[in-house]
Amino acid sequence: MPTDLYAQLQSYGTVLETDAPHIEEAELERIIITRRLRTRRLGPLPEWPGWAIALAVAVITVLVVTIPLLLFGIGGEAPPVNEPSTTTISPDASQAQGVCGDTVQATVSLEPGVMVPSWTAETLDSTPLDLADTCGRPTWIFLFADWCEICGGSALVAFQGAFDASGDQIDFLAVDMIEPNSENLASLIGNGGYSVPVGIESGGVIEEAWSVEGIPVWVYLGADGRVVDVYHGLSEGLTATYEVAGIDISTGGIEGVVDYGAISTEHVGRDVDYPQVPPVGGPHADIWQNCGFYADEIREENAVHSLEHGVVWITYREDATSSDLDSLRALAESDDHVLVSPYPDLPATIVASAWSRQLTLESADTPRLAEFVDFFVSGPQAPEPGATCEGGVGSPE
Amino acid sequence: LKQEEAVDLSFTDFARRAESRLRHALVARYGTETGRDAAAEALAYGWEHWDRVGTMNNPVGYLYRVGQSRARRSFRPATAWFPLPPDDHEPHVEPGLPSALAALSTKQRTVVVLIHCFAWSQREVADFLSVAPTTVQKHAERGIQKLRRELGVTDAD
Repeated sequence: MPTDLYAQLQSYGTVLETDAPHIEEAELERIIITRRLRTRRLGPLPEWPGWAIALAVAVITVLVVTIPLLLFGIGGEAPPVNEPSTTTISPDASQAQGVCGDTVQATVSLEPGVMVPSWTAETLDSTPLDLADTCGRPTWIFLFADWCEICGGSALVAFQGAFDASGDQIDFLAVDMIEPNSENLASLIGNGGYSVPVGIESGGVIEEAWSVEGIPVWVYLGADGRVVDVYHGLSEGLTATYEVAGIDISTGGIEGVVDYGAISTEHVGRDVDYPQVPPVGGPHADIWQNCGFYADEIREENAVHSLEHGVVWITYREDATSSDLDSLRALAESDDHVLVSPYPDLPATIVASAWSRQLTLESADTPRLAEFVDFFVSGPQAPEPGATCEGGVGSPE
Repeated sequence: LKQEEAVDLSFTDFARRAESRLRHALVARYGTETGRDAAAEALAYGWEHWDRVGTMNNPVGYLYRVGQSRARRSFRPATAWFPLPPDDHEPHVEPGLPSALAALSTKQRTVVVLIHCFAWSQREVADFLSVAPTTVQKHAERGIQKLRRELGVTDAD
């Protein structure tokens, strides 16, 4: 029997709200950076407090990218596509060698089915990484820039994680390719934890030949050197990266993780009564909780906003031992996206929560806790992976 | 907003207040996917051009038009797309409702969704769309009548 039409429409409003959720500042930032990369337009951004660092990096980079163009007389108002092909390009220059040796267009747009021109990058210790070497094997390629906060560190961690899990059915290759800086790249991957091939390409060859209009970009290249799929944007790319590696993004392959599915990302001024203890997502405060170790309780509505940013929030009950607390302090120090705080009436001594995910533990002395942190910090479950966990509320230890 | 207030208003404060209205209005018009993308594009535009947009009498109304032009240009909104409700959604929603909404005229759908799904008042819709309240009421009534016919529900409720 049909429910009253008005009640149905009202009920359907929550479906719409879930399907088209709140638009976050970090998302606008991504749109603007991508657009500026695409159009190479000069001009300072107006102030938006709290975004200062990422934006300063973006603005400087846009300047750095643009100034050479101006010097070479192309001008700052070049159209986004179809850059004027000057007379210096000879007919031969319109063709190049593909990944499997075929003759292909020298400049292509990344679309499924397109046979792409090959290129060469090199590792930080100057070992060449020739894309042509991947002919005959499918390859998962991640194109990024070391200066791009939202597409550098966390996405590389995920790339390495997927590489570890993927077996040898597929090649992995990450390339720092828009105005790269080897020192910045070294500081990103410097700790020696990276076994996945990470290259640097500073000639702008990839950007030009593959018409890369914004980063981050992930490309699934078939064994025959044709594009199978292209993914833009952090959230889409992280999810695809785990899928490629066959990793279950629901649990990260970690025993005991509970997945709560889709959850509202609305902002509210009021207190919220959350269904989980502690909450794993839902309506939350405008401001997030700063990450770090807290000896006093924090407000749930702020912590949930942090979860949205890809933070792992570890809560402990009063029966946690001093050894547990030492482990938790170490975890909070090890990653700037870990939040630790006491929480009364927990169902267990320790509960680790990420957006829509939760793991209940009797002690911090288990590898599953660090695995949970590794997988879900800026992980594919987060609505805004990589967004900041500083500049909010709270003063951790 | 009066002009003097608008000049002082930071984009952060503006976005906090205007985000849901802009998103709801564009979702009502273009469906969830295109509507939300268009709203994000429009807000990003507003931020980039805040020195100009921030001094306007009705910045959110202006960004609604920016969103419309983005939607037309970038997302090819031939038909509005609305998601199917989950089977277990409470209270129950007829599976035919999304397509019935998509089949309404643009004006009817915008008004019906804003008033009945997003709980705007007729006055708020009229102000936002810059049309007379009587026009809003007319579109809302016709939209509801058409939905009733499509879904086969009676007027008894």
